[in-house]
Amino acid sequence: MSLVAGVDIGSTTAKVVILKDGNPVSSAITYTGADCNAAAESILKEALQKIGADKNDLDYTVSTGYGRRAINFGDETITEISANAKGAVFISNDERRGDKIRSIIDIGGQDTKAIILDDSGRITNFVMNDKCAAGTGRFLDVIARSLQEPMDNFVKLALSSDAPVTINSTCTVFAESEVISLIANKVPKKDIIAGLHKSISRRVTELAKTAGIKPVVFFDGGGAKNIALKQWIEKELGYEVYVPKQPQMVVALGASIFAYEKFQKKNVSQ
Amino acid sequence: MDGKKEPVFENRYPFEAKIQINEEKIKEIKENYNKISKLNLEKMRETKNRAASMAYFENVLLDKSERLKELKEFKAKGGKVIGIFCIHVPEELIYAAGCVPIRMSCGFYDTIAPAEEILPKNICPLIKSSVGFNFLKINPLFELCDVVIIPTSCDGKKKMADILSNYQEVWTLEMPHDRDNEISREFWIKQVSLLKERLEKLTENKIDKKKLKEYIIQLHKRTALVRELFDLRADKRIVIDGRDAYLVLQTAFFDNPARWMEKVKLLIEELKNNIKNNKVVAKETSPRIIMTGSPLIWPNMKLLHTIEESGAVVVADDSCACGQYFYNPVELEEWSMKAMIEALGDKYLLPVVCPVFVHSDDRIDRILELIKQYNADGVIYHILRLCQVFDFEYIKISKLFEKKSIPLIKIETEYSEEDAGQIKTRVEAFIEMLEARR
Repeated sequence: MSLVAGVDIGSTTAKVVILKDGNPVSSAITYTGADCNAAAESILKEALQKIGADKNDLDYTVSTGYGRRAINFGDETITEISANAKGAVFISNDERRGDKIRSIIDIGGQDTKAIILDDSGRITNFVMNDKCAAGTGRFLDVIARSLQEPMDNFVKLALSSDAPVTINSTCTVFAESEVISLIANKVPKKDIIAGLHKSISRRVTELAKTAGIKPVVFFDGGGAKNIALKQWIEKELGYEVYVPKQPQMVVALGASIFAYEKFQKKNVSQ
Repeated sequence: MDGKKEPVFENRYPFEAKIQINEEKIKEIKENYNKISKLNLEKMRETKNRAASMAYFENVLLDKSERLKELKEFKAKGGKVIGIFCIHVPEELIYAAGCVPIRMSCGFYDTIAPAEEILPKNICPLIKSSVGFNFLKINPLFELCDVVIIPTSCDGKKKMADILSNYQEVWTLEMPHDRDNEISREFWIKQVSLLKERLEKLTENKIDKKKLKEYIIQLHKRTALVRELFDLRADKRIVIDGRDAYLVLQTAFFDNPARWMEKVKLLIEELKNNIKNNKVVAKETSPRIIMTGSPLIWPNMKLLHTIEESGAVVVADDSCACGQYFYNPVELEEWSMKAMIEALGDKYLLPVVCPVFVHSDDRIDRILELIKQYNADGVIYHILRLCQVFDFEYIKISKLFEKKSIPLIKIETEYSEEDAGQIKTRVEAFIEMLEARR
């Protein structure tokens, strides 16, 4: 029997997936907050408690995400890019009955990524957004807050527009002031919000095209929970993308699979 | 010049603006430069089995007082020190004229902010740092320069020549944009001849044929030595990492060439022994990287640290600030002045893989050759933000490499440390990708 964990410390949320003999048995998610290590500790404890286990029962732990080195435990680290690919391939085998994915779009809190895979699920190329927050989950959070709309309603409004405006600014700060002047000009809120989704989707797909995106496209990260974003990305690409059941957990799952593989290899060599 | 006016720029509207900065701040920047240099070296010393001969190059970099003394004495006797930029200035001519060239460094973040006072915002950090270095004389050797030669390579260098000409004597070396025709070559050889005339005017002495031959041969030996050092890096036993190779070659920018060559010979001997005794600095399985793109100039070691701390090793590069600078030999059979000038012109034009030229196919050939020769696993393409020429060429290269299944990653960055975390993620993921391909 083996019990391993994958811990993904993202800029906004921290996630944990636990595998028992290679199968997911538990997971948990929380806000990262100011203390990566505390968030990771508590979320790991929570996930383990769900199956009546504790840290001592873990055979191998792999951490990933931008805070992968900021935590005080774990056997190894892996980048979120490799972890994402591993998780996505596992899920597509499971949820899509082996339908091979060839690209991943990941919209997270701080980063947007596009990852290209070959037939056997190995990464052949990847790109990430620039250091600024435009085109990331944070961008939509900032604008939703300045428009005083909760996220659910923000997305609903985006879906209800027939005439999205064009947002020209690619910088979060400038886009926010552009939005404010649109409001002052009495442009309907739903058209502004739809325009924002459209603008992000265009940026993301442009990024993905430079990496060589091709179907089947797997869309994950917190941004994949946003249906309006999914629709606009599909419009920009001209084909459907696949969103897994739990898009935020893919990277943590990938890290846990990596932990499982490592643990098995270790056992074989011993 | 047949009575014609020499095409030298005469600045009719010099502007008086000076960088507004006090001595205290300059002192702080100088101290910071030393601090960062020391930090870099500390990181590099962590490498196990590092060659002991590296100590000389570390010392030359940290303590320039000996070289400073030498050059001051040289100047006291009437010698001229000439600052040079880029990879296109025929150093042989400068030495033959009895002058000493110093390649200007420009890789330091702290020199950027002061220079922004007299520069546009959207230009690359290398140009900003070049101007900052020159004004603030962060490198004490720069104070000794009587003339600065700037090849008209990229737009940044061209306009920098104009800015610097407000403060010091600047000679431009006008380059063709296209190397693939005879007219460009003729034009360039004329420029090299013009440089010779200017040097002769400066020193009030004719350049002697014998002297020129002597320095062509000496610098040819330097090229051969650098090639010998680089050949060692092709071995599967890795005995020198990329950072040390950059350090060694960049000290040649200002060190006494004869002494430098002696020290490189010692280093090569030591490295050969280390190969024999399997005294390696990295595992044989470490992913082997070719560096290309915008130059990485001391103390801007951020990217090289990230790559080599993540378990990969830079085995070669086509950089004008490292391998490429010393790579090209002078080819000639006849030692007439005309033949030598032409051969020098060819050395500094034809094989130079700089992206300022219209076509880049020979740069691509060079990278492909390096991949094969050094048995590399992947290529890291560094772009300094707003370095347009390298950014343009990335597109053609990335399309080709995709077809050839050669792993390639573009890292766009600046001199500041603020994106260190993001760069680390990209580089680590690239290395994981290379490892997974095996």
